[in-house]
Amino acid sequence: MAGLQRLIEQLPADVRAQLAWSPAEIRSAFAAFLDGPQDDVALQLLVKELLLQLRRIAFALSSLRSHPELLRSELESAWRADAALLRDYVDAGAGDAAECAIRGWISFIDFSLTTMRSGAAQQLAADLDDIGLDRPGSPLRVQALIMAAAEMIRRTEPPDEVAELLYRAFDEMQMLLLIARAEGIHLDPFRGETLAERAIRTRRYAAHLRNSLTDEDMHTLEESRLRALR
Amino acid sequence: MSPPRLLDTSIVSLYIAPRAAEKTPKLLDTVDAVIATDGARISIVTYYELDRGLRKLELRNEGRTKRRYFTMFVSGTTLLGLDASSFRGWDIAAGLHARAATLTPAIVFEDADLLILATALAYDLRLLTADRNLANRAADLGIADGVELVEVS
Repeated sequence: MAGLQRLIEQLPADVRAQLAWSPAEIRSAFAAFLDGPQDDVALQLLVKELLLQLRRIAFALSSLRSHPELLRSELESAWRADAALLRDYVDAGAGDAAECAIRGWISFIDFSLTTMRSGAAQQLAADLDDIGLDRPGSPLRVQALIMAAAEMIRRTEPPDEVAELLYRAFDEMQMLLLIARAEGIHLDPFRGETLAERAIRTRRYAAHLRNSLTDEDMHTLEESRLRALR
Repeated sequence: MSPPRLLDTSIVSLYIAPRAAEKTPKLLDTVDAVIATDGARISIVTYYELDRGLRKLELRNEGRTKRRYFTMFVSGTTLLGLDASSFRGWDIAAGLHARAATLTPAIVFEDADLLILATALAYDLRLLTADRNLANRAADLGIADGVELVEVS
């Protein structure tokens, strides 16, 4: 939410004055989600409310469309701040899952801004519209889950419960990446990282996996090895 | 300069195993060094072998997060298939199989080993394995240079 607020503050005063932007309504929608079962139906309701609010400010944000570098920069700043906040609150594995989801989201937005008028972007947008923005694999579900996790931190909820939402955001992002790939669009959440940065990240992820696996799990993995195709 | 390495399933399994630093420290160091210098490359067959095991754990409610960590790990690797360049990997695999089968005595590869070895050859990579039998079979077939064995006690 801080990210949206930050974007709105970039708008000219006259445009800002026309906004029907209502942080209180969004907060109320997040409170309803966090105080409820947090199941898929609740997430769909939350996404619908978020979409409603985003549509209210869409005309204003479209004024930033002619300055995509500004929009990109502001979004990146906002999401980096969120990633840092989340990482500090949950364990390292969940923090990395959050970073993956956030970077995936940034790569999606970056792609959208870069190819706004291209056929590929329109096709992806159409596909996402077809499956519904409140359905699994929607970028709005990723955004809603991450915003909900940040809101939980504000409410000082237990880190394990925050982590669960972040893992759900990670799952949604993986689905979004698959949907994009099916359209021939390869979104790279870690585009531009150096070999050294990638090595550090890969070893860190391997350590999360190693620390989570048991000897019994390794037995299952060994049993699952491919011996003969027929 | 030696060619970049492809990590065999045996290597990845030992690398991600619990207490790898105590049980297989040399392998851990070797793979860490490969990741730092070459980047991690794995075959789609290795991905398939490990993912189907992790999916079993997930279905038993013992592994949702473990599979997420595996997905994250794979995101740091380069995943190589057999289909590129007009299915070159499959072509190489068929050739290896036929050569091995017509030797006297015949050499028998497990299918996964054969496909992973063919992937390495298709991309001009050296296969890094902890499987001595695989390294020996490759040597018998005259491609010892294509395979590098990491000894584990």
